[in-house]
Amino acid sequence: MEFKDYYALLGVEPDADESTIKTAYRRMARKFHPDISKEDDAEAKFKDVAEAWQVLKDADKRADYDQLRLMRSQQGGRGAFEPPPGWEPSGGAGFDPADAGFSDFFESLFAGARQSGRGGPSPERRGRDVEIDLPIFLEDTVSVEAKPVSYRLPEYNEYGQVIGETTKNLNVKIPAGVTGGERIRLKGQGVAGVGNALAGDVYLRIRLVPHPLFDVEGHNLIVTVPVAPWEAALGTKIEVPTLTTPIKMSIPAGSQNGSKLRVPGKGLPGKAGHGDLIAVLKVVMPDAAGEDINQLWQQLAEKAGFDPRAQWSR
Amino acid sequence: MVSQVEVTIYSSELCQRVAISSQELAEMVSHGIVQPCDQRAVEWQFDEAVVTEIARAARLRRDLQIDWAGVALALQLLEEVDGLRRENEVLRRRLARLEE
Repeated sequence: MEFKDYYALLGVEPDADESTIKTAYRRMARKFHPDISKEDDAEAKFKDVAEAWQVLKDADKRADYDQLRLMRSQQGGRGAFEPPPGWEPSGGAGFDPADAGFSDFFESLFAGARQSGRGGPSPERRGRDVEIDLPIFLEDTVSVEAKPVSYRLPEYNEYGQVIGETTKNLNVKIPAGVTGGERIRLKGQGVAGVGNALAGDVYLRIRLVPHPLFDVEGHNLIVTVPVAPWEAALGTKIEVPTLTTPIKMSIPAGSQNGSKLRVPGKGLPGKAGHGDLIAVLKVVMPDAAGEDINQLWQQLAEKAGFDPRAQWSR
Repeated sequence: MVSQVEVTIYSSELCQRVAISSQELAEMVSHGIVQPCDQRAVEWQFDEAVVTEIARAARLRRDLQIDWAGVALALQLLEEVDGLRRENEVLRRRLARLEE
């Protein structure tokens, strides 16, 4: 099994005193707590830190650990670690529910008297809730198709120990009007309960996948419309995409970069009607062209007499 | 939260579901972490939607050894940070459109 370097996990020296280790643990626990940290493996890191603290905070367990460390470095300090034959952890043992989910390293060396079945089966306990990140496309909010969702749940025996994993597959109809960050509760689809207790729930956390064309603001869709300088100056009719069929839009003459044109009802479906589509004009320059084009620009520059930086010199 | 129907849960069931004592729930209410539908009722009822928040508060207290005032502050700030992150993401994307 893998040897766990508890000192490194907490970022302390092996000869650190207890209060240094305690402070380090507290800092790390805050940093990696899954409710606080946004990192993908926060939960695993948090468990690592908690495990390290469980061992290092107890003088006897720490002494044991230091011995194992010494043995390991004498063996070369690399590769898989085998516990010495007849190893008996000293110090307090017995089942501590807080130890659940720790590594094999901890289980075989420090978990002590806990054995399967000791103390009898776990009392009835409601299954754990599961939170799942569900990325959806904007198109899903207007579609009637159900979306397949797949997730894995741990399986427990009657003693509350993990004995495996199951994969669950559901088809979820995304309700119209759902927004990013919203959570949908699926009752009873979480981890199975122990004994006769109910299963936990699944919470689907909706995450809107960024769309190549549209941005979302509440129930409104924002589309950035590139236009040529002359189109903005003279006005024009263009076709603008929506989440369903494209629509025709008139750009008024004398438009500015950043102008907004609102098309009611062409945004995202909401609980109270549809949001709007907001077209934001973005005036873009053509690529550098030849001499004849540049002459036209030059004429325009002279005729227009326009100083875009007038407000600088005041 | 998406809820077509307003679902409420009694405090006894709530405590069992989230594995906290009624005393701990009382602390949460007194610190404003959650609000019962009617504070004067004999047995409190809560909106189903607060279950996750209560579970989160309980986890923070247990895992990080914070007192309830600290938990209340942490939750408030976490909500603010979440909101700012979302806003940040939106603005970042809008900015990227202009630079595309």
